[in-house]
Amino acid sequence: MSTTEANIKITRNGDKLASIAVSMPVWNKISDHNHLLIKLPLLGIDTIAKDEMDAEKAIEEAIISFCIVADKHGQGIEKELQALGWKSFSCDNNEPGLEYDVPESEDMLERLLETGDNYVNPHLLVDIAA
Amino acid sequence: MSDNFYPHVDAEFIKQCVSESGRLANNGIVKIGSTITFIIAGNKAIYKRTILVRELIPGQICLEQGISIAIRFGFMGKLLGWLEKNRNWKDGAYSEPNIQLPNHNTTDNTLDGDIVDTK
Repeated sequence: MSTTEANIKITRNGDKLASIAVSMPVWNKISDHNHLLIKLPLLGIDTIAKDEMDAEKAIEEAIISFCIVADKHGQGIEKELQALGWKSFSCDNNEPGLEYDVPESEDMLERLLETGDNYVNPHLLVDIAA
Repeated sequence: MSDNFYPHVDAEFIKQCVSESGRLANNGIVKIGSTITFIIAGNKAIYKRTILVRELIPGQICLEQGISIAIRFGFMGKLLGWLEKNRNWKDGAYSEPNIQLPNHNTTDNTLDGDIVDTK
């Protein structure tokens, strides 16, 4: 998958968030203090890691945090993602899915998104009681 | 690699200052793994109301994130006071009042860069 697309599928157990499948571009850069600053602009999130090894964990925690906070303090993951420009689509099994598609007219945005690393995790587990 | 030269700040101190700012939503601190999310009260989209920090050392927030949070929640003075009192760190450096710098006019047998008590 190219980095000009992003998608999220949410699995719930009743009302509880169970797992998240995600694919989206991320950007890293080294800070003045030698930490790794990580940006997930499609979720409006910045986080930080000790190094490349720690970055994966930082991204996982950031995405899970976004989903839990959106459900608990916002209007739910789906609506909060829509506020960021994501659109719903129907999954095979009626589980909610959202995608971020760059319109064809947005050449510049497409070029920018291509500069990111693609973060893919088909099964982010949300095992924390929210 | 992490540079340990800069002081880290107790996460508990940061949480306390953010809570005291009165800007957080009810139960507006959520911790997932080592990531702490602060949620500001209000009706705006959640991505506009959340700020993430991470404990790169257990229980500790790095200086970069500590300062960024302090600016946003208006407790920079408190943070600088805390750093001076708890980390001996002031004006961008650790203060070591009892150590004198080497006297460059004298020759001695110590290696370059050693800190020498000239008394």
